[in-house]
Amino acid sequence: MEFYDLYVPGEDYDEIIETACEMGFHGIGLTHRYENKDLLNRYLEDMDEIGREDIDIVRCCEINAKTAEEMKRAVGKVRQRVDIVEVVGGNFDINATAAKDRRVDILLHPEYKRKDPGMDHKTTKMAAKNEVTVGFVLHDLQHTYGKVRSHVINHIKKSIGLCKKYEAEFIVTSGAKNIYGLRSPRDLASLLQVLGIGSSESMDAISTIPKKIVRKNRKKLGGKIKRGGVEEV
Amino acid sequence: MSKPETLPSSLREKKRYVAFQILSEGEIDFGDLINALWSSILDLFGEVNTGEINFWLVKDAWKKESKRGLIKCNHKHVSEVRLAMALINRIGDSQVSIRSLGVSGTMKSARKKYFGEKDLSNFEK
Repeated sequence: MEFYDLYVPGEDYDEIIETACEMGFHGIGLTHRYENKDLLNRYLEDMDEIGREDIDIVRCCEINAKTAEEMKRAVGKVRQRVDIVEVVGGNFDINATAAKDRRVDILLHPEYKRKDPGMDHKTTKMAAKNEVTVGFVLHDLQHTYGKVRSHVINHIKKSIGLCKKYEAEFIVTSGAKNIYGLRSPRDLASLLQVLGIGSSESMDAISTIPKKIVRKNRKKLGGKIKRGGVEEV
Repeated sequence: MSKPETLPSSLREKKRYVAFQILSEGEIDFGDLINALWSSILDLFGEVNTGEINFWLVKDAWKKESKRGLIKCNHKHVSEVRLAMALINRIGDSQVSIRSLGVSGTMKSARKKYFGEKDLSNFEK
């Protein structure tokens, strides 16, 4: 089984890659927070320089926008340049817009800083239809305590329930900002297992589903999948 | 002082040993580790559920140099222990990451598999 962690916004790439290899990951999404074109270019140059063959380096870009319009504009700018486009959720308008947008791959923590799960049945249905995966971030639980943590767990559980009902896919990521935030694949999967998800489904959330997203996007970017989903064999 | 007899194996509670390793800059004090693990598991699952998990940190198995150790728990609650470990980000004053190395049914096999300890079962003259 090949394990992927697709949201690692840390900047010390070498240390993170080394630790991820030791932990048994086959692929790691070194995530760049999109601010402007120049920084994105520099990030892509850094990724080209890494040149590791023992681990799959996935180019991810996170979009942390204040409004849905801003998010759409940013997605348009990065879509053709990175493997994975991730939108930071929290604002319900952004969650809903991201779920409707086929260019978005992952909607990260839709419950972030909210008093509800940040997703309803319509949003989840749209996410399933547009192949937008919902990403749950372990970092949110590591840095919250007591009452807040219990709310976060409750919201994650509700979102998972909706995802299962409407067959939307979901993944778990570490959200590590440095090596101390990284967790081994089975530790990530344990979050879902504790919330009542079966063992095989939990493992899919850290292996099969992220791998599928990466492969599909690389084919699209390589021109092997044309518009309308026609694939060149 | 007399004590109760050991129960037959069919009546004993099934257990698992979770091997873990700590990634940290400085040294880890065993007392701080115990406190961090217990407070994490109690905060996350509460007293009733922690009782069911039957969590226990094995003191003799703690390797200070390699920062590896063993946790004993009920065989149905391994994922709870893993999550409680994954949510610890600080022990004492140092930033840490605890990762589980694997799960084993006996302490002997856990030591062999994850600590690289050898016994004399395959010894040849």
